[in-house]
Amino acid sequence: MTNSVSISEKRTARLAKRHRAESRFKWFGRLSIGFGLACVLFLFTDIISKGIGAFTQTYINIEVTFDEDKLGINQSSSEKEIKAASFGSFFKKSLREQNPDVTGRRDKRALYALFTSDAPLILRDMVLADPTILGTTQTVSMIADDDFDTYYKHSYGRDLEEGEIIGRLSDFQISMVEKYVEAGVVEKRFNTILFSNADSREPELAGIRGAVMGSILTLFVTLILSFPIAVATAIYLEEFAPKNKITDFIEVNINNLAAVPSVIFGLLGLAVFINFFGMPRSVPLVGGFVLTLMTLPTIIISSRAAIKAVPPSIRDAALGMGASKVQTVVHHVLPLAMPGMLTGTIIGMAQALGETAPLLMIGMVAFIVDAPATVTDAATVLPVQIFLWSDSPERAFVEKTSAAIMVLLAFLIFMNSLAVWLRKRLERRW
Amino acid sequence: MSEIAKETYQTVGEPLLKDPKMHVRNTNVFYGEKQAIFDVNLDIGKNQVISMIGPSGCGKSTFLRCLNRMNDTIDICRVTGQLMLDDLDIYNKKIDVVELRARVGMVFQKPNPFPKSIYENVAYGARIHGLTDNKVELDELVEKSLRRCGLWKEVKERLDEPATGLSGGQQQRLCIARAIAVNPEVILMDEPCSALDPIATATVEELIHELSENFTICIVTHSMQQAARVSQRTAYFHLGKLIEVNDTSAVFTNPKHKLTEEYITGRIG
Repeated sequence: MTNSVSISEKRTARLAKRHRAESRFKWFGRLSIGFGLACVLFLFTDIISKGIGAFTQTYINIEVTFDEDKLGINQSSSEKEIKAASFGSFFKKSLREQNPDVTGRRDKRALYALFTSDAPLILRDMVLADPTILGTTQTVSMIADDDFDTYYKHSYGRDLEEGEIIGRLSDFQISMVEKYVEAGVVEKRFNTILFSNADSREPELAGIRGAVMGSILTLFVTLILSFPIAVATAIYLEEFAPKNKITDFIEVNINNLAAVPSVIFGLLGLAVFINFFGMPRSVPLVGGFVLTLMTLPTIIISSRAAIKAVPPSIRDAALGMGASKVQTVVHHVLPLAMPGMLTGTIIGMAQALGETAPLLMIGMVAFIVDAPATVTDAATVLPVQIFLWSDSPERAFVEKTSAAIMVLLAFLIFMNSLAVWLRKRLERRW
Repeated sequence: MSEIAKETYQTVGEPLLKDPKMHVRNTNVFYGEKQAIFDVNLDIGKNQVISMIGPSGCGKSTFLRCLNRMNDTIDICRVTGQLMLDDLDIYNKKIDVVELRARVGMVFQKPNPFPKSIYENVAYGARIHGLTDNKVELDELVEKSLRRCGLWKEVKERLDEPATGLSGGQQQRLCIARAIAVNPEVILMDEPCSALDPIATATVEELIHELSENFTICIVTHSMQQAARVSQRTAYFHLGKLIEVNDTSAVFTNPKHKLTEEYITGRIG
């Protein structure tokens, strides 16, 4: 009797200990998740607070009289003549006339510098688009220079702290900014330039369109190459290849490749595709080849896992019906393994989207002002664009960098959600 | 062990028949170095049900899977000896297993319908073997196959629904319907009722009985009662050797071999 009592006491004591261990474990898990979430939250707040400014751009509405005499062209001038006209000196002259109190070479130059250096081109394009504006006075929304933009967005109208650096504007320029603002001609608008322009040395004109196009073209090449090759490899290795030393060797190597630093794939691409095969540098085609090498192991491994997860009873059923090996695979194994394969592919693609190092090796780090249209146009990609901008001294590029990171993150989140959605969708069928 | 080997080298009973559907001579099966089947000689009679019984691991499933070369899927499996389906040498390198498996169908232990619709499951064999020329013929074939398995009334309203939504017994009957849709000559059944409840089992046994009018059926079973109920002949396997073959009634009422007697009286197995 005493014995049984002591045993039940022991058991109770043991139970309490076990419960404690369980709740300890639960809390440990919660803390880990909490830590992870806090890091992500910190990252997002930091990036968003820094980058949100890049989504607006300052414009100055100025009156421009398109004087035919000053430009030396008239409404019947040909396109060539309009292009040859000196819009640069015309724009400067207009500014001087509007601000007669600005004298002295240095002040004049400081005045011009408040506007984007592309101002003459913008005026020229207006005339090219509609020559009838010659001889009339138009209100032109002129893009403000990045120094103006940065000052207006972040420092203007704020009590500045002692010794705070407010950018590169001189006192004269600040007084000019204030004059413009008081005149009510300065406005902030959604920054469409960020999405419509490619890279530029001038921060106010720099956009991510080139990088986004480059990323899309590169990923397109990567996808159409890596998915079929990886799926074919996975199917052959899982379903057809004999299990022997050679296939073991191949398997070890595939797993190894997945862990090879990506920069090495870049060097390989440089040596093989560019030096040996003589393909052009800096193009999405070669970038896609290199990223294919890099994503292949990822997709192969996940595809093999997906094929392995197909119950053998399905293969037995098909083979027992007299289906050939290929029919068994195509009719039954592939459809069941497809969700897993697609998930692996999208995760591989997301990895490739964020890849920078191998693309630096093949020259996709060049400064390119035109958005690429085909896979053989020189291009750069989003992460490389981020890398390039983060290295630029202008303060405006800091917020552009954060904005580009936000766009990249949006792409990644989109792709990963797509993977989840696709898997749920395909699995729900039966 | 060695005693058994000596004792049972020659199968007792009547393993051989006149005019069999399949005959198996001096057949050995190896998994790598390990021998799983020892020198089996057996005839399988036309339009008869033969059941294979024996304790777990005795090689009865391995033997069954030799008959339509399903063992080919196992890399290390090697089969020697002569196995014939009528005049067709099953293990001849030149024959096409696709053709063989169309003639020798199979039903597995666990119901394994394809994760497709009920209709597609039954139609699959006809599709891959090109048995029908148009949709009407295919519809007829599907209906006929389902009717023969007594499943038509239960599923005719939901042919487009997933087969995996059926009950276990229905799934197994669907698998049988799928097998007979290609009109095989022999149907191999590997413990077809072991995953089913008694009522579903009774239905499937009834079906086996009906099918035996037109098909030759080899059934592996763990249940001696089932063997007694459905089969005309019974083969008893023990440790890879075919110990005794005879008419089912003879095996169960008057076993000739000591091991058979011990097994059917429940002393081993």
